[in-house]
Amino acid sequence: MTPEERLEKALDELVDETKAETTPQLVEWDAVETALMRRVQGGPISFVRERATSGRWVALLAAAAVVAGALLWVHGTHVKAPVAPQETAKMTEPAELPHWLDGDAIGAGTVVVSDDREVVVEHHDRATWTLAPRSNALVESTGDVITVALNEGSVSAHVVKSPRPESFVVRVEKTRIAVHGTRFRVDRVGTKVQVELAEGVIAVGPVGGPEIELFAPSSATLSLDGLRLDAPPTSPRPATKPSEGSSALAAKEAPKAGAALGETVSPEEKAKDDAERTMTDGIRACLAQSAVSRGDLRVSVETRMAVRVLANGHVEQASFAPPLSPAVRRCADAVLAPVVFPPSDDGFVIEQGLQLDH
Amino acid sequence: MSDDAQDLVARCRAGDSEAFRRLFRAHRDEVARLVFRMNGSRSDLEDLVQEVFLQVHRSIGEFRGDARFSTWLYRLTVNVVLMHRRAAKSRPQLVGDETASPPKDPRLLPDEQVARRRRVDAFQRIVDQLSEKKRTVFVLHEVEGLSPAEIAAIVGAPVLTVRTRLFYARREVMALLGEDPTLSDVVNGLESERPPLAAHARRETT
Repeated sequence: MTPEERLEKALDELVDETKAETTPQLVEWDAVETALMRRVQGGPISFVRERATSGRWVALLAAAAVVAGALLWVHGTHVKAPVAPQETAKMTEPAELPHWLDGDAIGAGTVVVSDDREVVVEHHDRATWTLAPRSNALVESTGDVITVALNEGSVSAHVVKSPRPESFVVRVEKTRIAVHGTRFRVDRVGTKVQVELAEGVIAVGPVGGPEIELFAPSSATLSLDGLRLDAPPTSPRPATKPSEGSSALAAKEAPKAGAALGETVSPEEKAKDDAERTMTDGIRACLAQSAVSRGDLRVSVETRMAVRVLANGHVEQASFAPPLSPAVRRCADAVLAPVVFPPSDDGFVIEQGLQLDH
Repeated sequence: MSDDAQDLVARCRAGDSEAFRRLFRAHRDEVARLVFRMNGSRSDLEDLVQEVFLQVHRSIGEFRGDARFSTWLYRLTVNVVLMHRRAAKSRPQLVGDETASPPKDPRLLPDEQVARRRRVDAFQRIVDQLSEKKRTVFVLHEVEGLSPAEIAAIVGAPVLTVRTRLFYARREVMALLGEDPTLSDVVNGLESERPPLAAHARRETT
């Protein structure tokens, strides 16, 4: 056999082996078909007054019990058992029951639209979120981080605490609310985003920008660009270590928190405290974004900040020792730019140590 | 195209989603097979199949029935895969993202399966080195078994051009086969003792 013939024969043999590969076995056709039909039919998962058979009904009642607690604080009403959407077996069903959706079975890109009832979406052992009646949300991701973009209405969530820096995110336009274990509610009201925090800690801020941590119980109103519109909460932050981003700063702030609880504080002092807190929270968020944490590796960032404030209350300049990385510095500058302190006679300087254990 | 198929396509064009579902079920296997053979990757298979049928749904109104539906479907599939590969070139490549295990062939012993997979992977890498146009006609002709005329209708080129591409594609593949150490056993005939799988398969299906 000539070399040419050998190559011809080898080629034919390899082509035959390639043909013998049984590719369709690899495909989960049901999932592909479901996703495809959802896309061609316009995307949104709509809900009809149909429900599951009795066996599934029992499981759904159990799921309702899990989410009921998370919803009580939101509505102040009792929550009844959820039902499964898009089931074919029709049964009589009380009108006020919420719909129920298995979060682990829906993919990124799913639009969930509620009618006159809530939709409860459950991601097993991770999070349960509830779309209020007449609301609309897009599930942007369901991987390590579940991201829900709220297009209209309200969403509340109960997120199981996770070791990850964040495991659940609600996005409203360019405002981002990130959590890793908490209960909270987000309302989209016109051009504002209202956040109510019942438990735990959340970080709010613009997408890709510095975030501010909120500690329960508290609330915040933000623009659709993630800018805080209301004054920072008057309730004091805990004097104990508030979060993993903690520190010297928390210890420094503890006396102020005590003052807020019991002592008389002038409006100027309060405004100054609030501005200072906004500033330090924002910069700490910048540091947190830059700190990489992997497994048991503990990352600690420490710097001393000196901020010079003009008589008109605007920040003239800020320095950090040791200096911040360029990216964090840019982030810090963005935080400092809008901060305004109460006017003073000669201006003043704020010096403060910032530390982040991550 | 059979009356049933014609009716299905007509109903799809009229917006009948149940007909589209049936069309998907009827053709999904052949689309998946072609996607896999054209793309050579399991990781994107389901996404690409879905994308193909999404294109079918969007474009079915343009299908006039001048060509066979399968030819039209092949053309859409080829285009989707080529677009995907072009886009993938600009993205960072993940090494070892083939999470799905290869299908097991009960006719082969485990070590034979491993050896075959290694050969098929090596062959796939060689085919991947062909230019886009040559790879397309090579896969459609050699692996899918389409005639040059059918391929010409799919890729929108004259039959003579298809034949020329096929000739050069085959010559390039043979040259690369001779250089690949993974396939030296096959090329040098040392594998001749093992049962020829394709023949084995043919025997079982006849």
